[in-house]
Amino acid sequence: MRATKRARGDPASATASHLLRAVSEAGGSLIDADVRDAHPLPGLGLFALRDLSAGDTLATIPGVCILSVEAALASVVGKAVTANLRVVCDAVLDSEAESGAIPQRAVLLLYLVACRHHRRELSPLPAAQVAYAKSLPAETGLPVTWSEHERRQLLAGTDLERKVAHTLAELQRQYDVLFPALTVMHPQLFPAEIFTRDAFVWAHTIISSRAFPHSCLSGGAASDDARDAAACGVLIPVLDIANHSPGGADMCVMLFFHALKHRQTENSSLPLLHTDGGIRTHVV
Amino acid sequence: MIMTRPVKQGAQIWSSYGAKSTCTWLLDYGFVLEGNEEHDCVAIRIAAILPDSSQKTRAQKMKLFAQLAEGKASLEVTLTHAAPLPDIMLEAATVCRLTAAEAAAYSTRTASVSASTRAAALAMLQQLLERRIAAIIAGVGHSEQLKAAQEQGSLAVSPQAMSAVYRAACVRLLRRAQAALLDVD
Repeated sequence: MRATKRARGDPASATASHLLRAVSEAGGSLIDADVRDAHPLPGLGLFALRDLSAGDTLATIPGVCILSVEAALASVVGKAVTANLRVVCDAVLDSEAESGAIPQRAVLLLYLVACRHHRRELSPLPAAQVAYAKSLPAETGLPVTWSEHERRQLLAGTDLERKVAHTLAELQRQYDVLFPALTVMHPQLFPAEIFTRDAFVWAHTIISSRAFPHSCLSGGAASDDARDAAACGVLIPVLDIANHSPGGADMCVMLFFHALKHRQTENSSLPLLHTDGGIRTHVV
Repeated sequence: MIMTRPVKQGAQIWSSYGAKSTCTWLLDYGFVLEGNEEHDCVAIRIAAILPDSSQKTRAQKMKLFAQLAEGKASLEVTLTHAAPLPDIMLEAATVCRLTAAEAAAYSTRTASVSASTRAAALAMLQQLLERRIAAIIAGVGHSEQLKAAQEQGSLAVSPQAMSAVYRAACVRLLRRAQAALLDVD
């Protein structure tokens, strides 16, 4: 059984090299493996540079490279959103969409868009996160990005028809609450030509298809905010390049979060993310 | 990132994103898998359609149906290959087709109903499944797309090809449910 994937489009090898360099400059490393075209699968993959044994360390990824809700909220993007949300948009950050609130996940979406289109003169964002966001594929192939015509013709009668419509409606609702209000308030931080509805949906597809569980950072903290954040997942550069094998994983992912600015002190004893045994949602 | 298995030089290193239905793979990840039947599921909605009932019988059936559907107008059940015919689905259809006398006496799924009521309930579900299958395969060029996707093998990457694989997975499960209906005594 093999994965059937739609093309991830770019990033090209040059972009991957830039990403690896940025991760390295942040103190991380990819050891005895490289990133290259996964042909015949579309997109990139991780490949062994030598015979690897069980127990070998393949990579270490510093926490400062990771895009999380906490990183988003602590950034100039997140601060602008949280400072102005109630005033500008008459909305609050909350996971209860029914109340008209904006989930924290939306701030992560905006942060991802900001990192992808980051220009140095605009605002200070972590270099490794910017390099990561810029390395991501422009197209993800998820049905929420299909044209309305494609969705109508290809999903009629299926469960997916309803789920895609629901997802798109919720993303549209969030976007309509946030924009153009944020652009009017912060035209330099949220330029209209960058923060489009399509860019917002693109960020959703990136998180949907590439995020690891947030529990690897939070350790399953119980506050409402933490639960909201937990629903988002975290984007971890390099690790998310590994393709899915339904037959079982070759690797167990253990992350050593040095220089993780946003880690909760009480969770500092939970530095590991474990994805062995086919579950990408497991803290050890 | 620690290796759990040996990998030869030059080989791709795989991760696992977990076990998910074809619907979830396509919705959240933008790809589909071959041979994913073990994890596939299809949601079915059964509406309370109560033909030829008197007002009193209607009220009795609605009450019974509401208990099953937790107060909602329709009951949503999830079919899987392991359980293609959930008991609650059979019971909901049976409630819809009870006679007046049966509705007055009916209390639980262990209640006995006539063979004709049972047959009517099974026929109702067969029609429901058939209509759902028809809606799914009515998508433009489904059979041609499926053939093309199968010819592309694991590299079916277009929306058309992925949709064809997904819809075929749905139809396989619905057909299994139909076959299970035929096995109900």
